[in-house]
Amino acid sequence: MISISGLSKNYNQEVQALKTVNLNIKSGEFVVLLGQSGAGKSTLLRCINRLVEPSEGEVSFNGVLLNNTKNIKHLRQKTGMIFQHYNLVKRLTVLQNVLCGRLAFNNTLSTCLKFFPQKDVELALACIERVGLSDKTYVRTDQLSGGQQQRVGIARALVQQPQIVLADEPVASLDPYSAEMVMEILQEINNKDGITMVVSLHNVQLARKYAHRVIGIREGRILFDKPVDRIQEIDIDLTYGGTQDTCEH
Amino acid sequence: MNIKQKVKGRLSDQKRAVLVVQYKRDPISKVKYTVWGIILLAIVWWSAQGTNFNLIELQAGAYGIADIVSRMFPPDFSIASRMINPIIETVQISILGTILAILISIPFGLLAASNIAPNSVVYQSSRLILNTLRAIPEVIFALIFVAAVGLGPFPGVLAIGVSSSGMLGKFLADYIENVAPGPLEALKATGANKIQVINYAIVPQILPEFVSLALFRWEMNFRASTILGIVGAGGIGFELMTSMRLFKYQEMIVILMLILLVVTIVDTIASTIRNRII
Repeated sequence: MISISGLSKNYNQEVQALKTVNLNIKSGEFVVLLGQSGAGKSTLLRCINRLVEPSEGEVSFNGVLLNNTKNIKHLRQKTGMIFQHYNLVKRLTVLQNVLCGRLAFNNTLSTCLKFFPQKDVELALACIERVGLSDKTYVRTDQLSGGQQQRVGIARALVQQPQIVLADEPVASLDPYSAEMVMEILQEINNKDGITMVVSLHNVQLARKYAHRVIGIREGRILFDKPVDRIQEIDIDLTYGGTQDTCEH
Repeated sequence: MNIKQKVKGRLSDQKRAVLVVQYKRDPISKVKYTVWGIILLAIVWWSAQGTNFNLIELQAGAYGIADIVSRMFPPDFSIASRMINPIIETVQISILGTILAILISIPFGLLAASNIAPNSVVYQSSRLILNTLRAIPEVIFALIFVAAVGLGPFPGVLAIGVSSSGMLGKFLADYIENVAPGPLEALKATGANKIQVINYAIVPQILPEFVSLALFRWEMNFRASTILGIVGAGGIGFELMTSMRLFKYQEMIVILMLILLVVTIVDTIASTIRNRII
């Protein structure tokens, strides 16, 4: 479904965030990108939907190369994204935030007049119900807790009726209970709707619990790429090792 | 061990005396303050020379001022009813002028925000236009527009609109540059186009600040509108000018009182709305 070849990203002369990454993601998979902060997980996810322009390499979506704005827009329409800091428009209500996920499906003029078709509104309400926030539909999102805000973020991705969801550290800013809840919602979406999940995490336990396939990333390179049941301690040590050891006395 | 024993190293009287002397001789602060003092005095003297500032003449002029003030009394309230229409006209100039300024400032403000501007040429030229508009005072614009479209309130509206759009546009651009970037990224990721991103991610973030700024500018514009009448751009300022020219100081003070009253009303309305928004 997503095919990445020879992908590199240099932010400037010195910082090389990605070093020739090759990766194929199949439809319906739940893929976890595992690695430390700064390993290149966010850059990899953002290169897929071109929030970050790669320095080298190619990304294809359903066999179509992403080389022009029309293809990129099509991919973005079909790709939901979830962020560590939720990235909601805080002064808007839950429903308004979720409807933002339908902007690309409507023409510019009618959205400027805040008009969304009835079916979009119904879809948005259904997505809000699915993440369990129906009683907050008309509440401004700055009134919600972190866990609730992230569920609004998920609803905004769901309302796009995406084929794939990219989640960039979706639980890194949440308490353990909210984190489990968010991961369970993502798992349910993956199971029931068959939506492909690519989730970056730094928590090994969560990765083991929810992933089908785990990709370890360190310093911009893929260290390992295995089904979750074949992950060994040595893989984890290689992903995280080195830096912690030197700090101990 | 009690606290007195813990605190060792009490200064000997000799050492303390040395520190005191050192403080008195502190070369940095004395030199620094003296230099700054001299510079400040030099600037004041230079400005006074250039403006013929003279306390003796001011004393002599005080009699003139007292004379004018005494001739304002008793105020001639009979003209108050005649001034209602001109002052309403001034309010109308300020309202329409502010709305015109908002309309002009939106496109320039958007293009002068570095996170929206399509390229640096557009960005720099929009900044330049806004700075130019801001640098020219209302009265100059009023003189230009009076010459162009004739006397009356219409050139006043144009002058207020054009001159205050510079400040509104500059602030709008700054507000846009300071919005949280996360929501912009999120909406871009959904495939929304630039106009939709502006409408849904930027407008909600800046609207309260911008409305508050526009109301503040409206207060300023009302005061500016009274000045504009003096150069022939309509409203109460025109009446003020007329009574000054005819030495009708008893009418003049009534007009000034009316202006003060309406300024207070406008300020109260604007700050009430502003407090409700924020």
